[in-house]
Amino acid sequence: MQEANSVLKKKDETPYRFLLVDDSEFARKNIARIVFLLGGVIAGEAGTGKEAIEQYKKLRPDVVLMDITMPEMEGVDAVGEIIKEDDKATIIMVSSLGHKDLVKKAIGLGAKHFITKPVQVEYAVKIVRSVLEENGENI
Amino acid sequence: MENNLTHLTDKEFESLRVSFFQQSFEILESLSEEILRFENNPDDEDALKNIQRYVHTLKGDSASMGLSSLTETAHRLEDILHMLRERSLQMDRDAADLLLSAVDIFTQILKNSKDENPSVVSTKNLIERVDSYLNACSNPSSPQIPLNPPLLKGEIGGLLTEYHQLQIESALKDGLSVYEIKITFDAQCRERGVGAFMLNNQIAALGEVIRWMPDIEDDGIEMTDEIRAIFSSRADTDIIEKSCRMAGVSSEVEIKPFSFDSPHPNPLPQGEREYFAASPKSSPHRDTTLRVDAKRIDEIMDLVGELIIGRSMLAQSVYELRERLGKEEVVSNLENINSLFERSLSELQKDVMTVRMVPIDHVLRKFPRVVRDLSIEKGKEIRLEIDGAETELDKGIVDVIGEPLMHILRNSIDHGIELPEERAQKGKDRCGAIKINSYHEGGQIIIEIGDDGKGINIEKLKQKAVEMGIIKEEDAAKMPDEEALDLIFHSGLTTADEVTETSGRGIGMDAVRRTVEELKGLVQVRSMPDMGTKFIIRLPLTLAIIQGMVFKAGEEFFAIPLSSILEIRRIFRDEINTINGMESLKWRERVISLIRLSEVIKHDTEGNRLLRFARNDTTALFSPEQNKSFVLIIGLAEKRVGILVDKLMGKRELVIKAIDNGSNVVSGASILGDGSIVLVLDVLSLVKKAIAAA
Amino acid sequence: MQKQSPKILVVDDSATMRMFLSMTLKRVFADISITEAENGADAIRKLQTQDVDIVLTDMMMPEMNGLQLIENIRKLLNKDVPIIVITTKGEEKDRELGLSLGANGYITKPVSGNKLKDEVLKFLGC
Repeated sequence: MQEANSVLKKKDETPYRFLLVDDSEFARKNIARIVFLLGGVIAGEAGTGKEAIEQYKKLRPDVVLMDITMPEMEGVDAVGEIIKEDDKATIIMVSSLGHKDLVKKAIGLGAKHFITKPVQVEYAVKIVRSVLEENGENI
Repeated sequence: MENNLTHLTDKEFESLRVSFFQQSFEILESLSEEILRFENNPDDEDALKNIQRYVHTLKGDSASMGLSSLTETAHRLEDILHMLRERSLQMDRDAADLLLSAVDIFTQILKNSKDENPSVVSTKNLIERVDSYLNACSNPSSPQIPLNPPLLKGEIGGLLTEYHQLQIESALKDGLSVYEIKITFDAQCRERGVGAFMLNNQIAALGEVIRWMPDIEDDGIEMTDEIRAIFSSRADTDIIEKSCRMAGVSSEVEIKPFSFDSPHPNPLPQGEREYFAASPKSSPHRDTTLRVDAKRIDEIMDLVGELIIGRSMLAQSVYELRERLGKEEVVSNLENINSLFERSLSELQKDVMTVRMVPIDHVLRKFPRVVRDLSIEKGKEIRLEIDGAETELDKGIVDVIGEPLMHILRNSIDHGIELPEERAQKGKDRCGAIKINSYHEGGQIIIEIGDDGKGINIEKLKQKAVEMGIIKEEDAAKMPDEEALDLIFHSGLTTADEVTETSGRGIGMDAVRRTVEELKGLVQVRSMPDMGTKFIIRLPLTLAIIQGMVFKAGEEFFAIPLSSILEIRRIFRDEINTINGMESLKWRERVISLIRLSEVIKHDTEGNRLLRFARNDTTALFSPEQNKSFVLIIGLAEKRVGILVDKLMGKRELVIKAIDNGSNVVSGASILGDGSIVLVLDVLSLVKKAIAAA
Repeated sequence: MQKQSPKILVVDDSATMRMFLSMTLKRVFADISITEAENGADAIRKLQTQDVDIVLTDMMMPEMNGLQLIENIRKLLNKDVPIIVITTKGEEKDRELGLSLGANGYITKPVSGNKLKDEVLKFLGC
């Protein structure tokens, strides 16, 4: 176990690469704080589920932080598509309260965890960290 | 009943009276259930305790309401109950008969009093029976069995039912370990329901969760700080513990072997515990229960209906604004507001509907008694199995569906299940089975009543139908079985012959069909010689909102309740045959008539006025460029009819508004999002019209 | 003079009976506050959070019956609040047991307004 606020690195010592997906720019900025606290880098951003899929294929990020409701294509559907593309994809849902069923659906499709909005950064960091550590163990 | 409680005003007395009857009838239902339970298992101390308590309440309440005949009889009955309790009497069929007759007499006394029917119900006969029963049994030849009640297993906060206990026992028997897992939520975890869902996914991979406390699907889980699971597994505790540790969801995990008597946190010393044993968190809930007049809920439902219509009109306007103004901020705002409304309204609608929903158990709970009494009367052995008693449906439907179900049940007992000897000869179990199963499927409730009896004699049924002139002899020969079976719903066929005679209780299978159709449902029957007969009833979940298939015919939008539609088929023009000017189609080995709404409605003079398109009935179905069309196959008892449709608009939830139109093919109207009116067709009269037109 | 606004706890599993007793008490005492409990356990819970002047209880109830309630009020809660038991014909034995366990009075069903008034007044410290 690493210290709660220490920087998390991959086995090859490079930082984790994140894809942030949210239709609100403000929300993406907010989520970015999680990435910085973990010492990760932002590989890309997307404003719709469709963009998220394209970006994922292009960038192959280590982690996707995905809003659950977006125009064009909902986050849930994007999860399904991304997992179809890469069944090892690490996706964590970000959702405001009241979307319980959607979140469950996303998890059923293969998302690893969820964070609720408004994001409490420390708490979110704890979740993302645990997911990444869990992944590390399974590799 | 007169107000003989002089100190109360008439108004006070009236509300007391209402409460008294409502409560007493409920008690009588529970009472007969408990008597049957006790008859089945004379060691069931709880059942006896409940029986005593119910009789006690009836006695006390009726005394206060001045119904002295009920009070007296209840008092005499207590003598029997007391002896059963002391075990100086054994619970058997005679005792059960006596207790059940008492229930019948109580019911009659209450009914008469409620309807202010002055006729006196004689309790003399019953009291004599009680006396002679007591005399016969007080013969001291049989030694008294010492009173030594079996120790009851402790309950975990009253949350483990007998079923769970059984599961636990069988897991232990199979050599599995059973654990009680206590998981404390991470204080920061919101959406605990989702957290619990993930925990469940994790540990379900290691074994079986027998019970989550509280239920993880329950919304109340958001307010709880810890959840507990009874879990059976072969895995080691540390592996289970690890899978329960989930960052951001769980903060503490405690696992210990499950034990029937240890767990529930009870601050009281042993001596007092039993007094409090069954008074856990569930009780305060009851304090918040309200009884509400069903009419008020209907009013609310009506208003919700109006709101939903208003909302879809708003949505349409917003859409048009978007088309006109493009990406203006005010439009986006409106869209957000609209979707907020949409969400809240659909929640509201769901909530109000849930309030109206009651479990079908309200109807089914009467059945065990009927099966018991009738099978004794007919000399048959019958086991009744009920599944899905908790399935909910609209109260309005529950109130009417009881009688048809009861009719089918009686029919099965009377004519379906054979006598024990006959069954034995056929190599069947002497004891017949009747199974009732109800469940939800695609926005409908399905109720199945099946028996494993002799089945319907199709040849005899056909012969009867020919004799009665319902079908022609030559048609009978080629009539497929499925279609022939539906003949039992024909009104002429239900009274005369043994094949279809129904205990002579006044209503026949045609009445069953009628009631189901009035509820916008459908009844079907399947039968196999010596395998049994099964009735399948499909009903909408509620009457105020229907799932309808919306389609266009001519210039008008129509809808047909989904529950009446058997199949939607795409057909080519050359599939249609015209015989004597009637269009027909081959469907599942039978030929069905096709109807064009324009034709049917022409015969409906009132409807004619209502429908624009009837005036120019040159509806361009199968225009040269369109060789294909849709047919909705609708079912009505033995009749199958296809409706030709210009364009299918899809499945919609329709809030039905009654319209006073004098037409009987249109049962109501609903409004679509764009404001256009949909006429909801009454399948029953539609088919009748179609047949009349032919 | 009777006390200002007497508080009475009515314990009965029959909603009709509770309604009847409440109505009757309200008729007899203009200024009265009534708490209802549907069984002994419920009554104990309510007694833990509020004081009442009189407890009026039925005998046969689910979860915790009248006898257990009396015993619990006296021993567990250690309260000497007056307890009146309501019995029906045939429960004479229960009534005696109740009195021996510490109940202070009894009335029998059917309960008349006057009987109830007299019995309750006895314990209101007039």
